[in-house]
Amino acid sequence: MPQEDKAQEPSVTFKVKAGLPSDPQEMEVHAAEGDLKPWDLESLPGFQHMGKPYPRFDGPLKVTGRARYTYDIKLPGMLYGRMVGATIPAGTIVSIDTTKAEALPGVKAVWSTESKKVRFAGQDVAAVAAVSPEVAMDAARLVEVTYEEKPFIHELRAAMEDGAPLVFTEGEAPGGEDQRVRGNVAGPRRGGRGNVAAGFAQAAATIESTYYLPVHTHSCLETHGVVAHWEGEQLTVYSSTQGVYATREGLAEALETDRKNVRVICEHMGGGFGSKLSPSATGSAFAMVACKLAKKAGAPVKLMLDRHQEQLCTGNAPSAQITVKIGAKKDGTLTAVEYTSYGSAGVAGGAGTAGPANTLYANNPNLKVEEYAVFTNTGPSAPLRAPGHSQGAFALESAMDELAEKLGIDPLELRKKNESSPIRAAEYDPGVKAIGWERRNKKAGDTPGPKKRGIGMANGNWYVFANPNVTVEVKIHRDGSVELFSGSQDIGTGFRTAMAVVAAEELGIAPTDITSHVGDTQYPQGPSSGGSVTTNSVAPAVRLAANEAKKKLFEVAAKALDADPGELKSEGGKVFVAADPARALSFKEAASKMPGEVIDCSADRKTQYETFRRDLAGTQFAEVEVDTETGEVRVLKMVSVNDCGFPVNSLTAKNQVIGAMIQGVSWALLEDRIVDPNVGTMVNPNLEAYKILSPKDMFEAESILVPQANLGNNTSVAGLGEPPIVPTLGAVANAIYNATGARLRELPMTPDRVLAALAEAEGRA
Amino acid sequence: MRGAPETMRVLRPRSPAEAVRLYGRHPEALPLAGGTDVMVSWNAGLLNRRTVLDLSPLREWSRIRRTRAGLVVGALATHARIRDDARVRAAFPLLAEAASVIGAAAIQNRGTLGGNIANASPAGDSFPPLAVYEAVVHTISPDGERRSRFLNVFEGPKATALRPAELIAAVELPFLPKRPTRQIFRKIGTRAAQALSKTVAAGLLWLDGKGRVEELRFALGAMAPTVRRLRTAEAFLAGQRLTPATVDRAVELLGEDVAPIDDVRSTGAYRLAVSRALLGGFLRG
Repeated sequence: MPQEDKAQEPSVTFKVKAGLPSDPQEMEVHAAEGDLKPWDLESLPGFQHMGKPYPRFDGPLKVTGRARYTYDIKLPGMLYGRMVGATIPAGTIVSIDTTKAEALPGVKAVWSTESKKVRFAGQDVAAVAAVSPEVAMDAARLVEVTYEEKPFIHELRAAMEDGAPLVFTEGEAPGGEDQRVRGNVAGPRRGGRGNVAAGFAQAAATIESTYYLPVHTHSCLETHGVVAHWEGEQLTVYSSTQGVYATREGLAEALETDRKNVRVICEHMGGGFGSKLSPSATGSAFAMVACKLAKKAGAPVKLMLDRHQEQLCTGNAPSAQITVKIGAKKDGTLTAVEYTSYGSAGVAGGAGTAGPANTLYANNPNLKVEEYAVFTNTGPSAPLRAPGHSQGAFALESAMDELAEKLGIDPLELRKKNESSPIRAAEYDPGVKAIGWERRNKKAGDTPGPKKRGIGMANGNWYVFANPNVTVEVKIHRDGSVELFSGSQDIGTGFRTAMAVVAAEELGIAPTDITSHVGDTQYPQGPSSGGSVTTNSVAPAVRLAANEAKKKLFEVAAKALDADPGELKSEGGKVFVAADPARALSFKEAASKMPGEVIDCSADRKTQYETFRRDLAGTQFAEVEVDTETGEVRVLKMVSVNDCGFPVNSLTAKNQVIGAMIQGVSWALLEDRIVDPNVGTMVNPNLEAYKILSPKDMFEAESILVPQANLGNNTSVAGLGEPPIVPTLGAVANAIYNATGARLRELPMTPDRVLAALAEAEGRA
Repeated sequence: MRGAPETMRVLRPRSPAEAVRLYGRHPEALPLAGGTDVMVSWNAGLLNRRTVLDLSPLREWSRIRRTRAGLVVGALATHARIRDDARVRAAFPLLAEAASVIGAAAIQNRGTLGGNIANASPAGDSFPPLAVYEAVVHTISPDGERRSRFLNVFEGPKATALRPAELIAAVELPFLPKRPTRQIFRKIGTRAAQALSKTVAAGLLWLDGKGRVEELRFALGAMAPTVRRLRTAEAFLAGQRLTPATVDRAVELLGEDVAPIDDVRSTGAYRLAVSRALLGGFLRG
């Protein structure tokens, strides 16, 4: 995670009002030289724009089809590239014969891999560029690859069995040499505190359950892809990416050229969720290949993956088998938690799920965590919206519910009893009120008729990450128009709008008076959008740059108003003497007084400093209806309560939360990557058999944001893209339990699994 | 390889009579109605070098007419039209309901009843209602017109008993002699829209004044190679009272007429269990 700090010595101390508005706390923070006094709880009532709802600037472009995505780029003479993927899950490439493909009329360039080992179906083997997508597809089919096949293993649980075919031979497995690898299982990575054996000895009740989640794919609506265009040594790449700077760095390195020669642009993009953080993708080097094809052909090449390729080699969220054992006293006080996770990231490492177990209920004195990575012959995973945390919270929060049942305690009370975050403690009540927690079944399944309703909840956590390596440029033109520039990309979060809100708050004009330019390495550096860092990394630099520009504008305006620049204030589109608001100029009039054409200010972000809390809290509630005759589950309502410091734009912030709940419900109920055990290829590499939630399945979704200060930067902003998906799986599972008395421990919670769990519950009763 | 229009031939008749004539001359042609299945094949390049008989301009076959005996739904009537037609909704509500859950709005706007039948998917959502309404399918070919019982149109998955150069012109729905005591339509799909059925059911039940079964009609889709009526259970219940014992027996007999399979959408066991639950729930009221 981007947490490294620049070597800036803290030198300014600010006293701030931190924490929740209902419980302000004095806090001292130590900021870098030149940083602004952070917005804190005292700033909150005076905000003109921060936290208000603003429709995203790009909305009209998107709904009218005018927004230009990578897929929409069309350059004169452009060729169409196509990757050829391995058709076997494991083995060696004996030969790649591209002669026939090259001979096909219209084919302008081919590429083939030098790597010989195949570890998953879909792995890059070759590529072609041709005058049309159709010719490229035909040419791809003419590439002849001979393999020597090897036994393979397709799934987590099978890969853990003795004698399972090995994905890696000794020393080859990802994750470093110091890790222990036995068979296909690497690890454990250990964590925890105290002594769990002693903790369980004190427990009045103990539960132990094992949960299973299959691989879930990102299913971005815009597939991965680039358009690569060389002009001499200059390379321009249009990319559907979460990081234009990271793409530039990766491509420059792979192509052995200077970074100054490479420009990467991402104006709009159709979903990434973590899978578009690499220059290409975790399981393909298509972007680099497209650049090579373009160079070879002497023409621009557009290479977009198709849905099938997207499902195989652009990443996924690891599957996991997680065992949770929890002990508690009679009153619900936790005495011990033991958490063991086996995750499979395919041919990659990084299948850990213990984030929630390590962070939630921190008052529990005894915690033992073991995380293992299991290798399978399937495409490598990629970070997916709070990587590993949804899986971990599903297991932990299902187990908490099972414990509550065993103790005869309301699951909400059990969580409150063990709550260690003052923020989450304040989040329960608004959520409880919004969902109507008192309507839940006192006894699970205790409603008449075949259609049963129930309410459940689950908690989640995330962290305050920030990337300090950010520069922002703000320009005020002589006619009063304002622009801001950040290299970071708007991956759909509403970033460009949010940055205008921050600048507007500082400049005293409306967000719509500002034009945001983002997603281009020609603009000042900004972070990749991963770890929920974009808004809170860039916003403080926007504020600094806007503040610099404002100071320059005040110098100009002060002369005209016959005042001192220090006496001026700007608000509501006016620049005025704070003590005598009648002495005023409009923002435009003030700008017209500037001697030159433009006030142009850049500012670097200052170091992240102390935060009120290092973790972000979150709690979620779900109401479901289960048809006990058919096993169908319908989510009726979800309520998410989250903290993200000060929300910048409440409209797009809530939009993120609602989107996360939709993605989570889809994961909980529908999504399942199925790999054929006989041939090792994906059975449903599309969106027809790999179903995601449809608009008709949509539920009532409510987002409640709890503001808090201070989050370690001058805007008191934290990220929100990831945290709201973390509790969703567990909240839905717990609601199904409350509705029916059936406990589902395996995802997706399909009708047949619901019926099986109901039969099991009836058998117990 | 994708759909390559330059390799294809499209025949565009201006009248039903011309359509029949053209089909007679080109029996190898593929009839195109709403195109919701044909275009999927086209996009995959499977129709290159084929001849297509484009029926979509034939307004005569898209109407819904009322006769003394029932409604005659033109083969080219869209699902949306059927869904919204007041006469269909009043007399054949199960069909209107089925039309409202086929695919989603876009499919309902393009897809047609005749196309649905000719495509003969085992999971066709309009089929169980048509089976319990005992629809009659009107077909026409250069040899003349024919009328077939709805269930006799199907021979297997994606296979019909239509003869070479024979087109579906209309589907006749005879009015029910009296209002059913109970009726049901249920589609169980993976999600609420754009999902093929795991199972789809339609049922009509008439009870006499004494609570005895006058008649039961119950049909299931996606449970066998073609849509099926539960003839055995229907016959067993005729004249019986609906007691726990008779209902259980009928539910058991459901297995006599269907044989569901495992596929990517569901399992045979799930399909059977849920169909039984639907029938049992319907009979218990």
